[in-house]
Amino acid sequence: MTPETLKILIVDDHMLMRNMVENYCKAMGLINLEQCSGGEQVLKAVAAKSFDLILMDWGMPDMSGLEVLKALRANSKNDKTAIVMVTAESEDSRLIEALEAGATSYLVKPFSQEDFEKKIKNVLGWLKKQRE
Amino acid sequence: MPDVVTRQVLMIFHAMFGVNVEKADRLQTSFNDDDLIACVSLSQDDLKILLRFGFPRVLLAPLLQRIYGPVLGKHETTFEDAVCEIANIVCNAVKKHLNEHGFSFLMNIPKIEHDFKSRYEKGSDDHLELEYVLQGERFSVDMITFYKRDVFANEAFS
Repeated sequence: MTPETLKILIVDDHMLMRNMVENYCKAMGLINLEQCSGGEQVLKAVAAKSFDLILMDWGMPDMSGLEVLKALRANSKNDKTAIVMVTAESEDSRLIEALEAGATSYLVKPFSQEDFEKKIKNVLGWLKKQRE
Repeated sequence: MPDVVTRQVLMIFHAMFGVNVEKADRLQTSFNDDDLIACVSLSQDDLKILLRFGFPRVLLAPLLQRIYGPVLGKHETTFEDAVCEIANIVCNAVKKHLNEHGFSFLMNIPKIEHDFKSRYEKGSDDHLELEYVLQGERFSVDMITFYKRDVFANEAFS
């Protein structure tokens, strides 16, 4: 598992956040990136191929990130996929709800490149352990 | 509440765009033609809060060009998307603050409004106006509260 080969899906209905996260990933050497702008699109993308890491927005018009998370976790095929909720939702009860639904971690907006790198490095450590 | 909004606004611009915003003292009463306005409402049974974010395109263009490059960074879609995302982040923090103090607000998804010209809102019970400066350009955040008697009469929430 090297940064270049990790398959990452960036999910956000806002183009701004998708592009910022993509730039942050590239700065970390993570270059195998795809983007989705809605929940239905994610489910189709994940059915077609597997991803190592999904960076998932919460508030999207067609399906919430939480609904998508639950749908993905209902399929054991995605057990070893890290799913990080990248969200402006910062109420403790909501974050706990996401973790209980199977989120690997969460990152609260707004965040800097430094915040992002710190979080993703932890998640990559989790991924590595899952695959040992 | 103004402190919550201001803290979030300053944090967003610093973390996401690497620039420092200052709070302004003097307030403008109208939106400018160049302003893009995003609206979000927080609602619970007895009251609604409307938050309006007014950003001049001339302020957004250089920030977005750093992320998207020179062509896409000047596109209207990227302006609207950015204003809505900024509004989304600030309003989620406001919702969190209120809900931690005994409220149970729900928030809608931000949308761009084209009809507002005046920052004054008829029928509001409480109107908080905040203004900020970035590299000589001003932008605003208005927070307008409507109590139950006004909620269904006000078109802003229809």
